[in-house]
Amino acid sequence: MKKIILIDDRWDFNSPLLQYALRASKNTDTEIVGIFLIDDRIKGTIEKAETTLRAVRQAFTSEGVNFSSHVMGADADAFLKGIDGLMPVSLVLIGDVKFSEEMVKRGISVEALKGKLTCPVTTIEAIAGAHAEKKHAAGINWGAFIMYLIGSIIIYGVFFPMIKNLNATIFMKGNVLGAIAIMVVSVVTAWVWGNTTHILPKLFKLEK
Amino acid sequence: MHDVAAQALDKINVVTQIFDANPWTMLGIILIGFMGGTISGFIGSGGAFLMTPGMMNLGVPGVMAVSANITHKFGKAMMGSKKHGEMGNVDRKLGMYLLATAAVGISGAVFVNGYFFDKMGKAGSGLYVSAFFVIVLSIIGWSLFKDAMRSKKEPDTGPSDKLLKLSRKFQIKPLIHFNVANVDVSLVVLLVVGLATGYMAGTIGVGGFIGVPAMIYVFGVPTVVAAGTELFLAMFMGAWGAFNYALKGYVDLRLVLLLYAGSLLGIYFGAVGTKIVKELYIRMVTAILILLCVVSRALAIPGYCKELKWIDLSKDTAAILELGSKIFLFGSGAVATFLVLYWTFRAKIKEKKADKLDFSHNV
Repeated sequence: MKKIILIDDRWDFNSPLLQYALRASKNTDTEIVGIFLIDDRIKGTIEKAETTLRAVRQAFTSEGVNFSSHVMGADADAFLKGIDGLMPVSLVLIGDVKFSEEMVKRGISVEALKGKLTCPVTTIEAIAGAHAEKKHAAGINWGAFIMYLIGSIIIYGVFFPMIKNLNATIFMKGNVLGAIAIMVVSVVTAWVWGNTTHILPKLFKLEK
Repeated sequence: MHDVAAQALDKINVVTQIFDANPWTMLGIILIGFMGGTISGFIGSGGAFLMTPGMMNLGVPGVMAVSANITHKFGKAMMGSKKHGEMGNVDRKLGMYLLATAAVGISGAVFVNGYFFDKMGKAGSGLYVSAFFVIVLSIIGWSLFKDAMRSKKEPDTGPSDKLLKLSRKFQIKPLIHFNVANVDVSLVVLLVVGLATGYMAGTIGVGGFIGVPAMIYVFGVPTVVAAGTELFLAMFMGAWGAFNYALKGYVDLRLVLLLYAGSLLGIYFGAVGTKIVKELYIRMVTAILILLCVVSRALAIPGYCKELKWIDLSKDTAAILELGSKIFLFGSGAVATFLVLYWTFRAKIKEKKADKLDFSHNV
């Protein structure tokens, strides 16, 4: 069985975090472990958090997803020990969380957790961003790519060998015409070759 | 003296001679462009600190290496600043104020750089650019390194505000308000910073290394606005610098096109890396790489002094120093490029593990 840790302060079942976790866990034999971070110095917060989590557990159970939870205070050591105790997990997903001042002072942050834990650690914003990017990415425009590639071949295969002679007649004459010609060639090359190479991260599947 | 004058006048053929003597030099420049592009895509700034000395190590005179780099930077910044502008990260008013004095700084740099080339030839130009590079970038590299180490110890601390507090104490009127950055800056401070940025960009092609920290630490501009405004500034400064060097006949387009061939390949890999690699790694790579490039340039200085007949250096010692300079430069560039690509692919594999959990639903 896979296990996902959710860390959140709000525990609103309709929030993107919980809805995402629900979709990801449903029918995939995945258990969700919730961590509710509270300021335990304020009277009554533990009881409130437990009540909220009970409602969340009910909602997850009614969808057929296993859910267990822990309420944790501002103590950094207890928090890290608690997380360690839940290992191994497949993913740590962080929602709307404000780490206490003490935790921040002890170096606890999303970035620090990414470094400390061996499993993937991500935030709901990062996932939302990745999905937005995925929606924006139109894939590879092969027609445009071929056009830019032909342009690049002309620049580097035909024009480049001619520069040696053109330097003496135009480019390196040290006059306004030469300077303007250099600027134009520089911009055109950046545009044409830049649009050709733009496709590479997609070909290497580094970008979707 | 006659040789020096002939060398200075032969700027049209100097690159042809280098390429004819060793055609592999062209591949070397593409490789330098690739390393510089990958690193500049990763750290969000220039890569000139690698490309300029890299070309000089391959035999290109300092003034021509700087002019090729600044011309190449102009086209690159033009494409990059468009995206930042769309995201609202550019304070155009601040950019224009800095640009006004930066243009004077660039013109001054072009004049001084050209003077050394014309009067002292290739060695004089190389010596001037190298000495300037070593002095300025050792200060910047060390400051960045200290800042990165501080962030390692205290991950959630912001940029140091010591300089900001100091500049607030000495604010000379008139003060100018900038809406996008939401700061008030003394006109005198603006002019000094603009001039210094322009002079640095015109001399070694790395104006961003003074412009961005100055905007953050001295003006108090938010980091993202500083980066966007710097790119906007770099486009105009690059254009002005390129135009000025071209007017003096120092820009050999073959160097520019070879740099593009490599840098625009590398830049996208570096840019992907910034999305998935930790910021601390990015800052550490920048600082260490700058310091290693400084060592490389420092090792090249005795060679230029020998060429100018200022010092006596045995052939063996000169060869060892030249080799050391190349090893430091290309070694550090290659290691940094490898690390950027390694971290990027490794982070991507880690991300794919999360994808395997079937987290492909829409949020």
